[in-house]
Amino acid sequence: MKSKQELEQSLKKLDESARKIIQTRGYTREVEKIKILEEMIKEQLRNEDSRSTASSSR
Amino acid sequence: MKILAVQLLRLGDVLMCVPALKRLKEQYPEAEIHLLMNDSCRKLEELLEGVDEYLYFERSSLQSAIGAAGQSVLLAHDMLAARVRDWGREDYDLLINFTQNRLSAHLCSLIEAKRKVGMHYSQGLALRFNNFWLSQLNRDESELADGRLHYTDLFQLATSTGRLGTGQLRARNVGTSKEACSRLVIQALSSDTKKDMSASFVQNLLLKLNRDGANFTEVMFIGAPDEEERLRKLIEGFDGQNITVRIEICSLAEAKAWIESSALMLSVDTSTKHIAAFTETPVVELALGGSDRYRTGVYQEGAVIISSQVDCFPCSHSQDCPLEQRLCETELDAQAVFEVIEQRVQGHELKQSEAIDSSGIRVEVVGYDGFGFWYLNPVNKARSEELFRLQIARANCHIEAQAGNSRFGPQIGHLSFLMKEFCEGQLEDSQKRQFRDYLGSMIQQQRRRQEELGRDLLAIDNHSQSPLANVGPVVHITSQRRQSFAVRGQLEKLNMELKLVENLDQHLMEIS
Repeated sequence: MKSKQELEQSLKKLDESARKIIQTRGYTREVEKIKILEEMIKEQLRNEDSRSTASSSR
Repeated sequence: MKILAVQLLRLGDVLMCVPALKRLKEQYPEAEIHLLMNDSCRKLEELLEGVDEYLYFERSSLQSAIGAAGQSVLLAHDMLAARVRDWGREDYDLLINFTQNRLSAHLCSLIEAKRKVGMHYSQGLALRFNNFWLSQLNRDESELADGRLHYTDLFQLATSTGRLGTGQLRARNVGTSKEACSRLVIQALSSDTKKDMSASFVQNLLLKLNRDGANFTEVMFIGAPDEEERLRKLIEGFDGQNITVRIEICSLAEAKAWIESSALMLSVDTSTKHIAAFTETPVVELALGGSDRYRTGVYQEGAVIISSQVDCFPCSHSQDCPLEQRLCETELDAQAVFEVIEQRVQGHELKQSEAIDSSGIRVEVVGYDGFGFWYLNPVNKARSEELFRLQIARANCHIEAQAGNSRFGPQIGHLSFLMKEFCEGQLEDSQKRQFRDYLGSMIQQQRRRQEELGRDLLAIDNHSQSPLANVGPVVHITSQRRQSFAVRGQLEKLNMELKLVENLDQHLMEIS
């Protein structure tokens, strides 16, 4: 498992990548995918609404 | 036709969509309905009916790929891209997102569909809903016209018109029917410890049941495999002479079978209470911690919801309780809960008692209003003032929805229901005043809007051309741009309803 710091770095990199793509090619499907990954990292960092995480099931 | 329903939250959230999925199937009987949910919800397949195909968002493996040491996030990106490509091949006619988080909005933007409703991004810039009801999911109470619409109602309203109702939930491939007995089945734990029953509460309740209870011979605690140890700790040391206490670790389908064969279920706010709502077994829910009982309370007529009256309840869903002992749980008096359980299992109408009155707990009963809206009413009150205000707010919410939506339907029915009650003298004087005030302000509001837009939206008027003219000045709903058969059909339906009303003219004269 990556550390919190590594996850934060990944989040930062993803954010920068998304921004660069938007600047050069506009809001593409690639950006949407990156945004999804960002959201999932945020969940792992627990700084998002916990409703978006899924509990363990039976 | 192919429809994709998306629900990317938890088990309980998927279960709250069941009635809406059923209505979708009724509305589009020929359509293939696919359901996209988190892979952690796979076990629901054996419970749900009416879904033709299940798709899974592999959240856990994607998160593992992101979180793996020495692994680039590109791996997760490629996994996601492959999955989205697969879904895109389905060529959906309609996508409905029942989820209210950004992740689902991005995902729904990526999946190809001819029409999309529910939260999604449009070209990455604007957050779109294309549906009034689903847009309400993401709003704070202060912003919402009503603020207390149950999610199950919202999901149903988003999918079709007409009276709301419960959906069926059937375990398809589980033949393990259990022998019915005077059993109290308890779901004491959830995925959020703030919502759980404490050991002291459980022990006190068991003592009461053992000493004073005459309705149960067995108390069964159900749970998932990872809850077994915690459940054992809850009942540790209890030795009852009159009741048998046991723990049953089971699947969701088995849990449903146990609930069905029990006399009553006591549950905290978790998925099994939603399963219980689809059975005949009466439910008593303990709403603790961040339980939002107005939006996610048990969807079963006559069910009882017990909550604390402490100021911090309900707390924020995502924050831990800063106190060593949760106030909402400390206030939970086992004697009062025991009395509610006893009254409920005997099928009596719930009454206040000294224990309930002095305990600091709030006891509310689930009902459905004339239009099928879920509501909570304090025990011993036919209809509280608060509830009446709420019903008016809901009627208004319907009207607001109509103003921004080309579909006519439930909004008219709901208003006519209130009007019928008003005209038939079923309302208290103060309620009549409120309803008159409401109608008065609505007329003014609609006239202002009409002037602004230069067209009719909704008016209460004596309209000679209206199909309702023969019953006098009535609710006349029209739009110059939308004189469709559907609208006319609704007007005729409304006419039929209003014909039942006596002295309508006189009452409406009073209003004006």
